[in-house]
Amino acid sequence: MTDPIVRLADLTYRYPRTSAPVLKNINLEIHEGELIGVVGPTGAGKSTLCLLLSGLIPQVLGGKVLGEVLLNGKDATSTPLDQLLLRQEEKVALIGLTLQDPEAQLVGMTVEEDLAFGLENLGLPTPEIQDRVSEVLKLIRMEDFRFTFPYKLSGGQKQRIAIGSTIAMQPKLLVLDEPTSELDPIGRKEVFSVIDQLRTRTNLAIVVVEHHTEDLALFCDRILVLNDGEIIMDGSAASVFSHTELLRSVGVRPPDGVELLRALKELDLVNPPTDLIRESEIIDYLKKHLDV
Amino acid sequence: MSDFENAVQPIVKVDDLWFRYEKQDWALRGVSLEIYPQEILAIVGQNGAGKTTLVKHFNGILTPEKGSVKISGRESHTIPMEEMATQVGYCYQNPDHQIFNLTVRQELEFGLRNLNIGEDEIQRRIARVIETVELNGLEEEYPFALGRGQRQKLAVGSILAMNPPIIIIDEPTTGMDWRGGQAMMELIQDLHQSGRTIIMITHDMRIVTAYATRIVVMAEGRILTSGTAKQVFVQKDVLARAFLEAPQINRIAEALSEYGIAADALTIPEAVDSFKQSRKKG
Amino acid sequence: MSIQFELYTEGSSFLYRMDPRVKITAVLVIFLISVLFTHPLYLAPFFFAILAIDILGKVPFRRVILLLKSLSLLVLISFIMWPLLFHPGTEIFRWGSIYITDFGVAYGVAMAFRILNMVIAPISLMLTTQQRELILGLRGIGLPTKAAFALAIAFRFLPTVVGVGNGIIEAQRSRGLDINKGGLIQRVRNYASILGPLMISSLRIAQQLALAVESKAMSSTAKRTTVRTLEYSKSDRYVLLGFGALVVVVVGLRLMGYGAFNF
Repeated sequence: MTDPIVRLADLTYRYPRTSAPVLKNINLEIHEGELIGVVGPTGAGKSTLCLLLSGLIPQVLGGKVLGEVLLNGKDATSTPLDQLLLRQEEKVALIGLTLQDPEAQLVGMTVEEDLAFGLENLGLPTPEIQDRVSEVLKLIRMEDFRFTFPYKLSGGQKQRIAIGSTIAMQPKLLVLDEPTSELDPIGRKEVFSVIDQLRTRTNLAIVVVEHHTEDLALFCDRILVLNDGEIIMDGSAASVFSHTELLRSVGVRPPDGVELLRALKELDLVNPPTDLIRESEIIDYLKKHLDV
Repeated sequence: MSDFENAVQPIVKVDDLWFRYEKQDWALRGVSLEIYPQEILAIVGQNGAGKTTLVKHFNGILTPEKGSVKISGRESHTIPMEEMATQVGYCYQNPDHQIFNLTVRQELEFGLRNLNIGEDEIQRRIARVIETVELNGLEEEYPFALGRGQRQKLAVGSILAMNPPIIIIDEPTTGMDWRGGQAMMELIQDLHQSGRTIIMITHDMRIVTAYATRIVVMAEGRILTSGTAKQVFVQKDVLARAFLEAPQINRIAEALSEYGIAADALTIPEAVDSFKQSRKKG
Repeated sequence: MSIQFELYTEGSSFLYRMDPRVKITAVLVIFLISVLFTHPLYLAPFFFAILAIDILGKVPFRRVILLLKSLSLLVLISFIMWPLLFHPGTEIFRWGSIYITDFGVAYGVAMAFRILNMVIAPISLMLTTQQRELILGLRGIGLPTKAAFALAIAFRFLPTVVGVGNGIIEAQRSRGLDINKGGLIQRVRNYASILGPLMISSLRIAQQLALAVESKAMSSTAKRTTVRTLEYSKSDRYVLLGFGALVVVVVGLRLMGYGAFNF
């Protein structure tokens, strides 16, 4: 196996001027190509984890880190930011971050300028920036909006641009902190279809915080459950989402389909394998069952 | 028309309402709708479908370009804003767009002070509202020290203090986790049970299924259909036009309908029942 | 909803196509001329020249006229007040203790043209130049990257903040707020109910923005490049040259004592 992109060992973190840690005893490795969903109630530390994975904690936001934080093999507490987050000679960023508010993270006067922002900082020559912008526009299916003022776009479009502007820097890890929480169902679909595209087309590792477990069941390989600053579950989507009672007890709603299977199983009506979590799999299983 | 509908007058009556923001396309294209006392009406549809534009006519923030909007028989835009606050309470999506006082108590008093209500009455009402929205003991807290769910409750409370019979809530659970959302919906149900008419805008079809007494589906400035969850979620063509998806249980039930599962099952108990019956037949 | 945040109006002409750096330079030269000259006969030609260029350059004239209308009061005040207060030269009219002089009148006319020149020129620039081009142009003529970025963020987030502000006003009106009601203290409180949430919301936006920006290679030590670069066309160069010559002539005339009154 290749070296992990992220390695957290016995990590505990507290924000400046606070006494209670927000993250406690976290052990986590993230490898190339993984798509990891993060769930947990409000205040569990999900956003803090995102900022830590993006390298903004502790160097930009301060606070106290105990334990080990290695991003791309480098110590996040001591490596100078430009070396921790970027690979200047290759003109790429190592980590991309997308936040919740679609409106607040777009800096450009046009979509093009927004997608180019990081590349301009990296000092890419103009023609190369334009090429990469064209590529990303295609990937997020926004070719027709190259010169549009971002304010005028829908929430889903804005969020796709926010993702695109980090993807343009060709990172190894993309961190998405509740990218769909302020979107309507169409917007959510748009964002997840971009995430799905990225997963199939690149070797990018993706971490996405999301409340909708049905969407996570559909796309994610691995799920982390955070509660009160600790990772209480870390495993395949199938194994995590089958623990419906534990999820409910920490305020995470399991996918309805999984709950249905469970209810049927309790009545001895069916006896499904525990790894059925996707809607299509559940339907197929029940069809077969009803057929006999 | 049933006797019931004959007897009860609509509390909100929208008649062929057309509206557009200056120089732009029509945001509402001939909307007609009657809302009856004690409904929990859910308005669903994508952003830009006209949901918010429609409900902003209910409390007179917007004035119809064509058609009319009547609240208890009076044109909504002719009702003075102060009086309107006691008729139609409007909780905006983001509680932080209204919270500005230094304590929870002052925030709850704000609307009442705009209405020139006597001090005794203000204190009586605040005491009651604090009970209802479960902010007991937090009266002197700084509102921004509260969590998102509590701030949302505070925003609802400040509307509630003015005691309006109609309450509009825009996206009651956005930005909240599952528990926060449930607490919010329980509050809304309490308000409903105390006799209020609730109009909510939401994207969450599970909430719609669990709580709404009637659903209005909007797309492109029009109402496509309205009815109970059972009536609405079986109309797949309408859902497709409004870019909506039925809740997952209903999608599964529908996919299994040819095997004898009720296509209109919306909840887990309903789906389980239907499953049991199909087994008996089989 | 329908507030226009940008003066720029779609169009096509040599003015629209002109490099923003050239247009900004032109505006600066007009400023210089308008400050150096105090004689109406020297200022008026530039006013008419600007108008002529606006017409030839298809600047949306309705908006220029609108602008002139809103300026007319200021121009009129200047035209009337200067002669009443400033009395060089020969008296030409007296009414009791109020009198005016010939140079005073001329100075009033000159100041009116100065105001007109110094407003119409930059407005014409904004009407024919997109905000992003303007920023690119300002950076091109030497505005530091950080200042240009700050300006761009201001342009970018103006509609956002106005949108949030409108939402807040609606929310407070829905709670019965009548902003113009009550005594002084009540009114201050009324405004606080809008400015308070607006500040908190703006701060939130700023925080998210800061994180988003910070995560986009802000720590890079490379020299910053841009996705679009400006190229002077041949005609741009001629225009620049022309303005250079104009500056030489104007400064020369002024040093020789022309273009101003010698009282």
